[in-house]
Amino acid sequence: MKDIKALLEKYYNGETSLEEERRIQNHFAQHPGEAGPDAQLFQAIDAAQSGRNPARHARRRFRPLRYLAIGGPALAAGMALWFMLRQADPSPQATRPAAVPPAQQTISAAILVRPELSGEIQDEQQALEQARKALAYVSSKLNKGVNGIGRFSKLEQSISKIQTKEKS
Amino acid sequence: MKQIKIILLILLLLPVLASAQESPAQKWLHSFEGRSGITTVSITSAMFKLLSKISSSDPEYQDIVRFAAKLQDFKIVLIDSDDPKKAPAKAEFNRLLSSAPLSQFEELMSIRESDNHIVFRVMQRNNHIQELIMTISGDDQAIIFIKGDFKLNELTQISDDMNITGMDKIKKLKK
Repeated sequence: MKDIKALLEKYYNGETSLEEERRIQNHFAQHPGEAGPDAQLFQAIDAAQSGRNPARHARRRFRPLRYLAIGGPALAAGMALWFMLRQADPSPQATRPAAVPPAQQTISAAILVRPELSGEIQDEQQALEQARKALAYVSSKLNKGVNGIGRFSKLEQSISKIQTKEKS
Repeated sequence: MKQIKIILLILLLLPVLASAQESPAQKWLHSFEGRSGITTVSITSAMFKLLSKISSSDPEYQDIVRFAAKLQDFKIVLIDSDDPKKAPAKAEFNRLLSSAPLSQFEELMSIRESDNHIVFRVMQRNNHIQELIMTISGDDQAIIFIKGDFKLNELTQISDDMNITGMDKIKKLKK
């Protein structure tokens, strides 16, 4: 290794012989895991001499640190977004046990307090109960629409933040 | 002098007469009443006045009573999808739905939910909703109409946490 360092210094000073340059080149060819500008330079020379595209050659190499550096923040941003959306929409219906699954619930069961209810409600208690249930139904659908719009705008904001970070 | 008195009386009664007059949407909803296979339920302005006087120790009922005080009319029109005999009623419902007087309404939002298309339309004045029509069409058919003077966020704050199953909760109420 010390020998290679000395040879590299000699190489950059323009004092190496062809044999010494071949030794440096062979060293980097035998140690493809080595990173740094020296390794990149000699790998590119090696690729050019053997007729390969150095850029493509470099792309094929597995660089775990680089993948971690790029993928890590993106993964963290994704997890943060997922957590944020879960916090914003606690989904009370999911936590509350429903008597009838929504898919099986008829529209009258979802809106009316009694399936046989019809006409003008004369009883105060029944009117209050019915108003409460139907208003809650309308409110839940409105909230569903509003949450949908909210989620979309949050997603757009997060995407734009990630894009800005990637650009910088 | 007598003529002036009559004019004054008319002027005094004008707001009362105007409020008693039904809107085009209310008149349209009457056309669903008495049709075979179509269920209509309504709560009148007089009933909402009575409801607003109810007092309850339950804070969730206090919220709904407070909101009820802002309402003048509430109508529900629906057909259950599980009954195959109701196909003619569905056709009739759709025919009447297409004649809705919605020129003064603006679409608030529309939601696609499984096989249903839900549309909210509102008529508002100074950010206060005067009339709201929610229509559900597709697998299910329903219309919910609310007339009053309220803000949209007051409606969205109403939750269904109480999960009403019967009259037991309402017995706690005192007039």
